[in-house]
Amino acid sequence: MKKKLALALALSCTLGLAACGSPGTSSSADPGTESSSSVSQEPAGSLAASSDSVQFEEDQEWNFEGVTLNIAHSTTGEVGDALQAQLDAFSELTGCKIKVELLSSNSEESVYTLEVRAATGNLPDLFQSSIGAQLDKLDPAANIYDLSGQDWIRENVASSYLDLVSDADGKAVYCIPLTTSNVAGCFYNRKVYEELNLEIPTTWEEFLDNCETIKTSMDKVPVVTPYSDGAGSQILFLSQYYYVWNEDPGFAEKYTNREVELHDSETFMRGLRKLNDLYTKGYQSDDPLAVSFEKSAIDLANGDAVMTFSRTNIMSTISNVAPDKAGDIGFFPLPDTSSEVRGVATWMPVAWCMSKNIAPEKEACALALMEYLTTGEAIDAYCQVTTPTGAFMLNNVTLPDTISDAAREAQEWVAKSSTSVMEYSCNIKGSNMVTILQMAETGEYTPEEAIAEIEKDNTIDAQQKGVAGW
Amino acid sequence: MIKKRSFASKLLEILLVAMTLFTHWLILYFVIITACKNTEDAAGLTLSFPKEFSFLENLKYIFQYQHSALLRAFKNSLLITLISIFFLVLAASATAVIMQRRKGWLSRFSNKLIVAGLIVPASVIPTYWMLNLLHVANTLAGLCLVEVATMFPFAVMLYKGYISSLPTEIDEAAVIDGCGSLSLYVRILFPLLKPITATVIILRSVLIYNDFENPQYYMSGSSTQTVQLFVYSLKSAWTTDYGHLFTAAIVVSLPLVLLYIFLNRQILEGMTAGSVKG
Amino acid sequence: MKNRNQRTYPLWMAAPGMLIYVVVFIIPTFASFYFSMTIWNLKDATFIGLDNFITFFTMTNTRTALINTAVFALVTCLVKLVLGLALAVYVCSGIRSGNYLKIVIFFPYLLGNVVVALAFRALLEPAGVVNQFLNAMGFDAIRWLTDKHYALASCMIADIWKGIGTVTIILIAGICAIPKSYTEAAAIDGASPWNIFRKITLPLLMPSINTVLTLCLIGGLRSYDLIQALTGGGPGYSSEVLGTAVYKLFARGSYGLATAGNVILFIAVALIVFPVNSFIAKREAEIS
Repeated sequence: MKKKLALALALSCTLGLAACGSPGTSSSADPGTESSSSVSQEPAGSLAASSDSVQFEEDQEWNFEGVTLNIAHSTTGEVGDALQAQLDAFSELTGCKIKVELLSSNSEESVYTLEVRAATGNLPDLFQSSIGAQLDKLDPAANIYDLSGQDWIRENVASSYLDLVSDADGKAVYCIPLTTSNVAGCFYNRKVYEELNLEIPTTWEEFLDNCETIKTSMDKVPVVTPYSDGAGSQILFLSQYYYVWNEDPGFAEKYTNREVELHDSETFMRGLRKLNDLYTKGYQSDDPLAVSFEKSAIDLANGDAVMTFSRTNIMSTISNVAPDKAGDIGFFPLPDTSSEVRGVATWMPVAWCMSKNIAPEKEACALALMEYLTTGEAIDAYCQVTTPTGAFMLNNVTLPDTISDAAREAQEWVAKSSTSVMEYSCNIKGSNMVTILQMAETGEYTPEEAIAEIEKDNTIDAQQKGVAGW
Repeated sequence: MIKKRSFASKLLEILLVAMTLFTHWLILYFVIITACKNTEDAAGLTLSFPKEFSFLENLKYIFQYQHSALLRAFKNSLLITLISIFFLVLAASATAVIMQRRKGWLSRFSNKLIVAGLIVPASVIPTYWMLNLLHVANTLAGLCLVEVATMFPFAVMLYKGYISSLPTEIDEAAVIDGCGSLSLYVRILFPLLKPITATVIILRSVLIYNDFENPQYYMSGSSTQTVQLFVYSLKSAWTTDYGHLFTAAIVVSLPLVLLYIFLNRQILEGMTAGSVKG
Repeated sequence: MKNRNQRTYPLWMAAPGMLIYVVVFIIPTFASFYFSMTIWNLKDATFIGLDNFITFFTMTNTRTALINTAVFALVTCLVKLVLGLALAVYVCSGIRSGNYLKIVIFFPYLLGNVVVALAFRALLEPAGVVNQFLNAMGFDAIRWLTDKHYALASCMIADIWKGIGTVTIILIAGICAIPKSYTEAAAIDGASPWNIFRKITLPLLMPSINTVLTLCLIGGLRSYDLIQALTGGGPGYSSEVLGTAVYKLFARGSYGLATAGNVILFIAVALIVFPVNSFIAKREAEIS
């Protein structure tokens, strides 16, 4: 038992598991800790634990009075407030001024915004960006500041994250994590599961059986499906990628090179078949295109719905709308054909990037801010505002006590068996993906029709991007 | 016969007026009443009175949201509207004077170009490409340029129509009195154009203030957000939080609505004048 | 004489306006023809001939968008025209509430499209006011925004609600410009009101109708923000129009393809608006 625990801990460390609390900062010299201790029941409680955390070097002379940094991000809600708290803390610490510009919370729109600004040399000093294949859109070598020369970068940021934000030969490093990672899977209401004596399903068959039991024995929605939300309509489909990857780790690369077609992989197809099952068997919400993400969180927490496919960020919504119910929620991975093979797909934290064309007089200040954002001190500021729901991908930090059970269970799966979703390794994604999935989810398309549409849509995207071989 | 018709006509009138209660007043009432509710109450989407009056709380919330992004958006919208209208009026009236009065192929050719602009939709991305060449992409100045350019044909046509009704004798008399071309325009013609200038200002500022598409394409990013973009961004951030959404919608629409309450006669007249074909 | 004319009205006074117009509007319009035939990332453009247009006509959503755009433009235009005409004739018959009706019906014009879309979205939600009303009357609720049979119609209703005021006002002005003596003379001769409308009012109103039709058609073909904010083109592609399809391509960075969509819109406007214009001009000429 002890051995297992130690293993899990070791794993969580190497994977840069969620970290709230940087014990070193509990010294009274730190203003962040003082204010946090006054807030009881907050993650700050975990500060008492001790480990060799990364500490913002206080003896360093950081005075940036008179410098103004322009920062753009697209994070709203509690997490957005948490970012603001981090920036405010840095501002107070160093005297620099920070002007925040909020980009569209629609990720496609904000990517486009940055892309045209990158193309025209108008990037803000610091900005939020997607990572993986999407980062390439910004032409990082020309537009983004290379952080590999900073002594703190490899020390503070998890190497698995750095791999995704480095250039091809692994020399230049372009980003640091901005929020927490997101794990996709099934979130379920434990109370209802207990009431009906249901077991956690390990295969899709068992999952459907559970749905049937719920549907026949009580007046509840088995799976609440927030398909009005662009992300909500893609989660199940995208998280099937774990099984595709597990079968063939080179799938994304082969697809990019056009060596395989999506419909050739039965495992890939099963993602669409699962969506189709929910529709044909009537296990999903009545008018799914009218169900918002927030509504799905409320219904799940209240037990009006029993399960939902979502990412761990749903826990932050639940702790917002129904704080006392967060403990009722559990997590299991999207089941597939075998109870032996189970795993989760993850979304890495989006990133902070620094503009390569930053004015020389701002450079030191911006670098200091980047360093600060990777320290436990910044994480404290973050955790005072919101409870994290995933990993920060920073080294030497431990999970706070307040993290919800579901998020913790999800993190255990990350350590056990996981991969990041396909879009980090394949940039091809047509402009109508969401709509096609929504149509598959409401019976407009069969899985076969849907995959044909997706392939057609992707082909156009690949051609427009000039991907070789399309 | 006549009496009967007037009765039917009266009934129809009453019906019509009653219908506006449903088609317009009810919607207005619904928006206002929802803006007075707290989030939970507003989610019911009913026409009932608020359980508690939360309009002031909602108001405070949306003004503080994101370090008072709304105020910045107001400032931007106001600046864009004023600057664009100022240059539009100057450029369009001067161009119209020359095009209407000057003879020659250049005037006729310009006229064709401008008529085409009345109909043709602007091409979005090439316009962005052009703004970028001019180094004004994503700036307030760039957006103002686009607004002036897209409103230009319509304004020129309005001015031209009006100038053609002014006798050329006015010009000739002024020239004989020693007026140069510039002072002819500034001192004599422009003051005479006052009524149509008012029309241009009224009609176009409504469009520019309410414009969504151009700011979305040419000014993406919120340090230069306009009020319409602000409301749209709230829509995705608060999906169903109608209490706050409608409070924001009301605040944003208020300037024009107030204007309409006091100046509805002038605005309607301007609308009529603006529709006369150029 | 010619010299004096040119001295009095020098070109440089027209130059600033024309310069802005040509640089920011005309040149990009011509450039769009070239860029629509390229794969373009704002920096480099690779010429690919007409491939983008072929792609545009073979993509499921853009094909649907073309049809929807035409339907949307024609239906909203006709409804606005017919309702607006009826209202205008009635208001001009000298009723007491005419001014009130004008003011109220024109009011939505003052609101931004996003604001209108927000209000309609709340009204048309599954549990919204409209469905509450339908339920109370004993009808089933309608999924206004998420049923593919209703989504486009819902967008049209919102658009008509917003746009009908402008149409009515223009037509009222047109009718008021017709000398009262014409219709009064006809009435004394015993012409029925319908005949007066058909034989006198309508022909004399043709210039105004022409203006209205042109304005509404162009507006309808270009409509974008209201639909984007109301349904985003969904569910499926059921309310996708050219504007929303082009924006989607734009957001994915397919600038060449998106510009091709713009050029198609350009051609569609030319194909529809010019014939309508000349047809009415001909009718006008025949009548007078």
